[in-house]
Amino acid sequence: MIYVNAISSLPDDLAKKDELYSEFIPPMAARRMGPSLKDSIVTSVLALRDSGISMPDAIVVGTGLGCINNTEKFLKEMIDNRERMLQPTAFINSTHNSIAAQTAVYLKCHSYNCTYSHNGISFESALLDAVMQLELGRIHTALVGAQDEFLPDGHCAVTFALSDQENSSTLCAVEDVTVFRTVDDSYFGDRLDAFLERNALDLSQIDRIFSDSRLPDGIPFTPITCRRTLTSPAIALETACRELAGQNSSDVSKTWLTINTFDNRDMSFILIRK
Amino acid sequence: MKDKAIYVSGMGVISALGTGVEAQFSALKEGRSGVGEMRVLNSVHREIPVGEVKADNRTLCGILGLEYDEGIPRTALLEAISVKEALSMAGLGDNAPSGIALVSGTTVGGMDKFEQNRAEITINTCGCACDLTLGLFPQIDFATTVSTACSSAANALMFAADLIRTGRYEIVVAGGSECLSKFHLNGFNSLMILDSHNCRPFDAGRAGLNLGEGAGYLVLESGRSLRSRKAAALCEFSGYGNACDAFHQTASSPQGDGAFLSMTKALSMSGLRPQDISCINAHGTGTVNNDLSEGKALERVFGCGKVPPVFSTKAYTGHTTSASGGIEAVFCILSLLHDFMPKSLGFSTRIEDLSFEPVRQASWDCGLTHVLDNAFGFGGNDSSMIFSKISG
Repeated sequence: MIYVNAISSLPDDLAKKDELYSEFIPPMAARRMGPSLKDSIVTSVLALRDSGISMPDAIVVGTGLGCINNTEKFLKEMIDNRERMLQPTAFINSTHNSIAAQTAVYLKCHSYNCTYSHNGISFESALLDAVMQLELGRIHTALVGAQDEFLPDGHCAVTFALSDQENSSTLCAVEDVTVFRTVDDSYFGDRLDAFLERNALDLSQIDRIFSDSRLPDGIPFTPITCRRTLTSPAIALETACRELAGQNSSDVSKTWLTINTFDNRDMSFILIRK
Repeated sequence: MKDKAIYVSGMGVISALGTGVEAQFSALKEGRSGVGEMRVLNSVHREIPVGEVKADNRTLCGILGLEYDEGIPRTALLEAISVKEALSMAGLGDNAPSGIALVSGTTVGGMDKFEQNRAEITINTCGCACDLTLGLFPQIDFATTVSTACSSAANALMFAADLIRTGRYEIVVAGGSECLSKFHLNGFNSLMILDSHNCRPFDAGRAGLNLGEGAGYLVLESGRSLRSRKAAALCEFSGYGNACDAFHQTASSPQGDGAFLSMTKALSMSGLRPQDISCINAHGTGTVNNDLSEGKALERVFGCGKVPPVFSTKAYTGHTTSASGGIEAVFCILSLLHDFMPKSLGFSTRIEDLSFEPVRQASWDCGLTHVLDNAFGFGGNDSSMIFSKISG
């Protein structure tokens, strides 16, 4: 079994975020880092602390737009200076993988390290990577992050601590993850059926469905309201995990599903259980 | 066919050496570099040598039988050309059944379009590079994108293998694609790690890397699937490992800690001993830092004086960054299939601090059975893969 043993996410409030940054990141280093680097470090440290994991076996990050602030900065300088006399700092911290990599540098973590960037399923791809390696027994713990920088329409900064061991901080179990691409409308139903069948379930046994996006008619679900970014499916999962963990074990509905149909093309199902 | 093994059943590649697997093999045999004068990229830095695919986007569209569309990123075109060859070689071209996954590695993504028209970053993401391929090949029904800088394609291949290992897919096409962009050319230039001449991997006088572009994809497949469709495998993808150097965003640790770990993990998964490795296609970029650090890591894994033959193909293609793990995986498989090691172009003088020098001459009848392939990225995202001849 794969357990969510902690989740750490950051508030939208910039002042509160700055407070957290200064608590964990030396000011000199923080100045060079874009928001996602700092968010990933802070949420990773907090998720590790809350889950009781000292050093993760994997750091996997999903990001839709990567380090967009530093990307824009280097690009602007390049265009303005006509490709001359450029400082490398913004470039160095512009690659998508610098989020997971700088988190590893901060934690001095030599474990598996990977980054996914595929539009609306960036986070679920990262989650799937960690889940597969946990299933295979290759790793025992993982940090899985969803990071997208503050844009006018929202941001995402969430890190999940996964483990193959349950402990006192466990919120819920992740039963299965699938990510797919829709060919046409009927395909969604086929894939949902196949996913449920793979887990020996039918739709009537799913007690609650969460989604941050619109679902086809006839599937009742709890909408997640957040300012959407490419990685906001992670916020839907966070909400579902926290609510499930908060349920009374006696009266609880036990099998929940999150569905992401973010861009009506790339989609995902994540099955969680108390 | 072993039940739990991952096989390679097709491969495709496009690089500065040409279009298609055969073009690469000819250049590698002849020791011919594709690095030279910049012709396609519209940068002011014409003085910097690059490994360009010698075709503009209109010509690339033509290869795919498409009408020219200036909105398609070059990375997407390179990817589609390479995936098409790989699927066709595997016998999974037109009319192949659906249910194939695509795992692609890129970092530049649609940056070439974004640097032309800055309003479009949200559509020219890394993931957008797959759209063309998905549109052209209905047999592919899932795609995702790995972005770990210069090890992207290698990590894409590993994730793809795990999709098969966990029973989620039987066939996955995976690798990487990257076009040259002004953005990363200027980025590497600002780091002062570009050689103003052709690069010289593992040479004492090495002075940096040349950037290149291209795409390389493999069709990975389960033994069960190969048996059921009576298809042949080119080789086995017998081991892989990923580790983080956790040292610096753009520099490798002096003793190659991440590289040591990634090679050790790959050996461990394959069940092979260091002495079983026949040769190594090194990351070998030609930068002062990489080649020494990687060399030290090789000595730690294999022992001083016991490092198997090492070659780098970066002086042929340039450093194709996110695509390099895919393109060089194809080169490793060519080595296995033809029992051949290419000359490590650009080398003349051994690095004093290393106990080995790279392969000086193209070599045949080498008795190759297991080839180790390294791909390391910014951020210390280090990956190693082992490709093995099919026994029996």
